[in-house]
Amino acid sequence: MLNQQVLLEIMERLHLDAETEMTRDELERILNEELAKPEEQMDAELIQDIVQLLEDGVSAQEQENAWKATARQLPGKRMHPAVKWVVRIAATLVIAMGLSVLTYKTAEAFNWQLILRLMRPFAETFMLYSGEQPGAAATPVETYGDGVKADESGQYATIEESPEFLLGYPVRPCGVPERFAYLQGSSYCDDTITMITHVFSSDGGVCIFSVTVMNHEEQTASHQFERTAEETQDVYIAGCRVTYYFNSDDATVSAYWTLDNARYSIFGVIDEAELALIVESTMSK
Amino acid sequence: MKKMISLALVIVLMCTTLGVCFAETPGMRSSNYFHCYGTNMSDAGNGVLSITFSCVGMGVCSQLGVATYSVEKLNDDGNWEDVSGLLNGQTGSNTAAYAFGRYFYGVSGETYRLNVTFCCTLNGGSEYKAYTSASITLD
Repeated sequence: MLNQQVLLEIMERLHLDAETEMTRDELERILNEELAKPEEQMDAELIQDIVQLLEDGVSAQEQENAWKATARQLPGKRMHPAVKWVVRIAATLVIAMGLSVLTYKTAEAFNWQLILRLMRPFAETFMLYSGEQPGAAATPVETYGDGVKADESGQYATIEESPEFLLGYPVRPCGVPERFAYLQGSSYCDDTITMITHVFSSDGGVCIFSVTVMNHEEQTASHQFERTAEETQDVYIAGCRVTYYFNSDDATVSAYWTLDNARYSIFGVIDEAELALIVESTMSK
Repeated sequence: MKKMISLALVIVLMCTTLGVCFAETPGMRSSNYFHCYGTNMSDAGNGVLSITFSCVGMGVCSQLGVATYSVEKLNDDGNWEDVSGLLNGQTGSNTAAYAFGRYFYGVSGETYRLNVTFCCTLNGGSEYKAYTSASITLD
C-alpha cells in the first residue's frame, strides 16, 4: 500500500513543470544568487516561487522512501546454482541433526528404549552416546600418582660393622684375597628388597660383592647384567650353581648365583680360583 | 630398469636391517660403568605398586641411580600406555651400589611395567642406560 502511494507521488511529480524537475541543490543555488543581489535588483516574485517550490519539493525522507520502494521492485543478485544447492543441503543437514539430537535427548530423558535403540548408531557417530545405560553408575576416573617409600639405609667403614646374616642368608663375604682392602659397604632395606654391597679395592682394581634378598616371594624382579662376557661357565660350589662370566678385555670375572630368595653377584679383577674361594667360604657358613 | 633398481634397494635395506639385528646380540653387550641394574616390583594391595630400583656400578661412582622413570599400563588392545608421565628418579653419590623405592598408585587388575633410565658417573665419564622392566599385574 505504501509502495503504491510513493510511486503515485513520483508519477505526479514527473508530470509537473520543468522547474519542479530541478533538483533541490539547483533551486537553492538560484535562490542564493538572487538573495546575493542588491535589494533593488532582487526579483521578489522569483524568490517567492523558489521558496514555494522548495517547500513543495521532494524532501529527503520522501527520496529515501522512493529509493527503497524502487529497490524492492528491482531483481536481487542471483546465487550460483551450485552454491544454492550447497546452502540447501547444509541447511537440511543442520535441521535434521538438530531434530535428531532433540529426539534422542528427549528419548533419553523419558527413557524411551525403542527410540534409543534405533538412534544408538546415530548417537555413537556423533558422540552423544556414552555406552552406558541411563542411570548406570559412571566409571570412576582413574587417578595415578607416586610416593616415596620408607627405607633403612646404612654405611659400613669396616666389614665387621656389617651383618653376617640377613633373613637367614649369609651376606658377609669371606675368603677375599689379602691384596684387597675393604673400601666401603652399604645396605638398603624396604618392604620389597634388602640389599647389601661390599667394595674392596686393590692396585689392580675393585672387587664388589653384592647380595639382594627379596623380602617376599610374590614379586617381579628383573635385572640387566651388563658386562655379559663372551664366555660363561656353570659350576656347583657349596650346593649353589654359580655362573661365571669371563671378560677377556680387562680380565674381569663376574659370578652370579642364587639361594632361594637371595641373589648374589661378585665381580672384579680376580682369577677364577680366588672367586671360587670367596663363594665357597661365604656360602659354607 | 626401475624395477631392478627398486629390488636392489630393497635387498640392501633388508641386509642393513638384519645386520643391525645381529649386532645387538647379548654377547656384545657391555658397559664400563654398570655391573647390573634393575627393578623389583610387588603388589602392595589396593592398586598400589611397590617398586624398588637398584643398581651396582663398576666401582665407587660419583653418581649412581635413576635419572627418570615412567610407568606404563597394558591396554586391552595389547599396547602399552604411559600413565605416569616422566617421573624424577633418585641418585646417590660416592657409592658402588644404590637402591631406592617408590610407590605407584594404580588400579587393581591392571598390568604395569616400568621404563627406567639409569645413570652412572664414574672416573669422570657418564653413562645412561634405558631399561624396561618385566610386567606385574595388581590383584
